[in-house]
Amino acid sequence: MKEQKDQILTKAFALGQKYERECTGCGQTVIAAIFESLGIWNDDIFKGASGLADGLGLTGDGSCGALVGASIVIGYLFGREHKDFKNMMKPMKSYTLVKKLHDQYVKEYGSCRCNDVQKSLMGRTFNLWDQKELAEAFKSGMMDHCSKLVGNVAKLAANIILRGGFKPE
Amino acid sequence: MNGDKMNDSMDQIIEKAFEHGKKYELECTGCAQCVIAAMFDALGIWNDDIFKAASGLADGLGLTRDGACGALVGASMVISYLFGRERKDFKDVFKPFKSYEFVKELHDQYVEQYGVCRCDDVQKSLMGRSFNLWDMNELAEVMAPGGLPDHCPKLVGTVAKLATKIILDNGYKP
Repeated sequence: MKEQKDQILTKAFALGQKYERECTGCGQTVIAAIFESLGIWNDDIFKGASGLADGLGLTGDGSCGALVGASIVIGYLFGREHKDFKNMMKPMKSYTLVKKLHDQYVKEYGSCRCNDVQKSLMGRTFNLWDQKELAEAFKSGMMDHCSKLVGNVAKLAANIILRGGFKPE
Repeated sequence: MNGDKMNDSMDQIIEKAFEHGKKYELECTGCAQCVIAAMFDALGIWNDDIFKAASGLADGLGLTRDGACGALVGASMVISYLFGRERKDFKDVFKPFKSYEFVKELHDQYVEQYGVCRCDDVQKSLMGRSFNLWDMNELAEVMAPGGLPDHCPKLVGTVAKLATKIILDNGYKP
């Protein structure tokens, strides 16, 4: 059991890092990594995270896309279903587990806002809508920082999901 | 369909998004799920998985207030669900650009209206303070007149409306 868990966490980290480097789009890369490490998949959830990268539509202003993508997987597995929409207590398990992930994230990176995380990892932020800054972001190692971060968030979330009671095949 | 009739139905769809968003947030809470349900209802579509997956995003990620507004993130999920990159194109880094562009448009309209997109900051700007929903005392305070139920339902309705308009303006045919 412990061996299987270690394998899942290692796989979540490795896939998150690889996908972010090769495909970019942190909301989607973290979801693909968590799904594959747990042996599940959902096309709609994957597509539904497409625009969340780099703090919502590459604005840097919202929460880290990897953190939000991982929270979406937690919601997908532990969230309130449509039949229970009127029951305000049903989302509590997803709130608790997402808060746990958020708190671990902030402990490690100091803030959950994309721009703040960029500043803390690279000393500045980059406007990815500007061609010149996009080139500078690559030179400053943004890919290295963000791919490691995506791997790390995938691993933290997979651990929370397993401890929350999800049984992989 | 002539132009006027088209505009009529577009206005009706956008109005329905607003009304349902407001109603759901008041009756069910959980801003990300409420905005998604309202937009799906208005556009005449539904997806159980997308709805369920947004469950933990409320009140700035797991009721922490620290992340971006859950209504804004939920609406961004619907935009992505309709215009986003599919798995078969995962390696194409340009495929998500339509979703980036529309989500940025929504984000910019949101910030123009509310000043910021972080839940805690939006609460302060609307109510003069923020509430820790994990604290039973503050949870009771938040339900008093002037608290969250006076503000968040209208905000959820507004975000559902703005996002639905972006979706329709960009060619989605209900």
